Amino acid sequence: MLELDIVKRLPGFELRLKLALCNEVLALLGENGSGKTTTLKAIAGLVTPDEGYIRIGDEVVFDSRRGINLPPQQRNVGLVFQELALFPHLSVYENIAFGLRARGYSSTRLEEEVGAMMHTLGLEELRSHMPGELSGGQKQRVALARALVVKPKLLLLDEPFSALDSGSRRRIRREIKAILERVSIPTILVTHDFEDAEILAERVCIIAEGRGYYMQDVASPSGEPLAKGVVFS
Amino acid sequence: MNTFALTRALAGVAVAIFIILPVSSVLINAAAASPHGLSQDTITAVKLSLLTATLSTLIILTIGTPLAYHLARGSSALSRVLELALNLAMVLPPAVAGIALLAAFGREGIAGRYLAGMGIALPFTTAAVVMAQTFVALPLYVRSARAGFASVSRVLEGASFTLGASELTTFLRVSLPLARGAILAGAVMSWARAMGEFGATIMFAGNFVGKTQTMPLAVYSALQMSMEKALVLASLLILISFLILLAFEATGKRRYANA
Repeated sequence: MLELDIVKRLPGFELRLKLALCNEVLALLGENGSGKTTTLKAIAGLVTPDEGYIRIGDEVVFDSRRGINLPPQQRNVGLVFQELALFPHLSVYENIAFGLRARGYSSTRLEEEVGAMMHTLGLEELRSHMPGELSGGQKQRVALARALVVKPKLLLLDEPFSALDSGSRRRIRREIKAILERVSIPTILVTHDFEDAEILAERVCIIAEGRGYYMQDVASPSGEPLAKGVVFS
Repeated sequence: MNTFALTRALAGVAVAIFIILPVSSVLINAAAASPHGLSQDTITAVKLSLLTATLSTLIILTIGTPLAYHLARGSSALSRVLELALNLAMVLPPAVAGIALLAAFGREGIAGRYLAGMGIALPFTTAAVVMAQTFVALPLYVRSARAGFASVSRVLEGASFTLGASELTTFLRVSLPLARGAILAGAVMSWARAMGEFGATIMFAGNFVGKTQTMPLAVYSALQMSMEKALVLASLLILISFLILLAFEATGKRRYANA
């Protein structure tokens, strides 16, 4: 689970956010520049909040009052960047194996774990391809595999569909939904598209003017469409 | 032909006359020279040049690579001072660089007198040649490697951190391979600069056969005695420079497609 209460001063406004999630998918919705990506980076340890605390599972990874600030390496958070950030000089296999190599896995165990993950995500055929040779959807799956293979306590997806055309967007959204259901770990999905949030997430938090507002559960018993009239550019 | 096209054509002809003509003159004259031009001293100078330039390039790679990374990533006051010092070293006339090294590491120099106390005398030794070459060639390498590191996306390094890789692992497995082209180009350029070093070497290391007389110094000495010998040496330097150029071109070829 994740619990956070942070303040981060950004150019022009102050982001104040409280979040708590268990084994569920939470969508973080907001306009460009509203602080969504900053929130993910703060959770992953790539950005330091000005105040507050972040707890992942049983561990406090950041607490401004107690001077705790664990580096990203010790947080075990899977972050899929908007840019995907695949290592362009490494093959698909080496990209996925990267985190396990950093953990000192033997080559046999590496082969096992990476092989299983490539099988789950249907990447076996692309094993020795370079990222530059992949389609948008394939890159997306490699980035997800790379983040998941290290068995993170939390998965963060930053605008996972932004680089895709609308056709593949629908297909990959379905794929990711199936994967998320299978791995079942707390997940935050950052998006500015309400449809993504509606299909993938169980709860929605909207960031506007530096604050987070919770919406009712997506799968609401009433079956009412969510937050009509909320439009994000 | 319009005026601008004519200007460009004339500029091309001027370059041909100004660079290609003198260089080919050396080669043509050297070809006509007797093989006696290739004396033992010449061979010694070639060996010394290859040895010292390679040594100084290795030193430059060792100290220049982390420095270039630091400069590409940091913006502290120290970084700015280091950057200023490197830029200064790059524009400094080599003779001034030689005097500066003497003032610091000469027998009476600021650091030299302490070294002398420990029985270490640097000036007019082969080590001094390497120091002079390092001084003038380091800024060239750092400039190139720094640009290479700066072009590596920080998002990639961030991704590496979140995957559990330490800063050192990230440097070795992500930043360094991605900046490889710029690093190799910088290394080739600084090796070439070290091979051609003259001013700082003659000031700080002197011109002793077998000890500090590198090829450019040997060309200078040969010219005092016979043009023929100088031509043979000069043509050897041209050949080496040409090979460096080929290596430089080869390093620029490989680039990764954007992922």
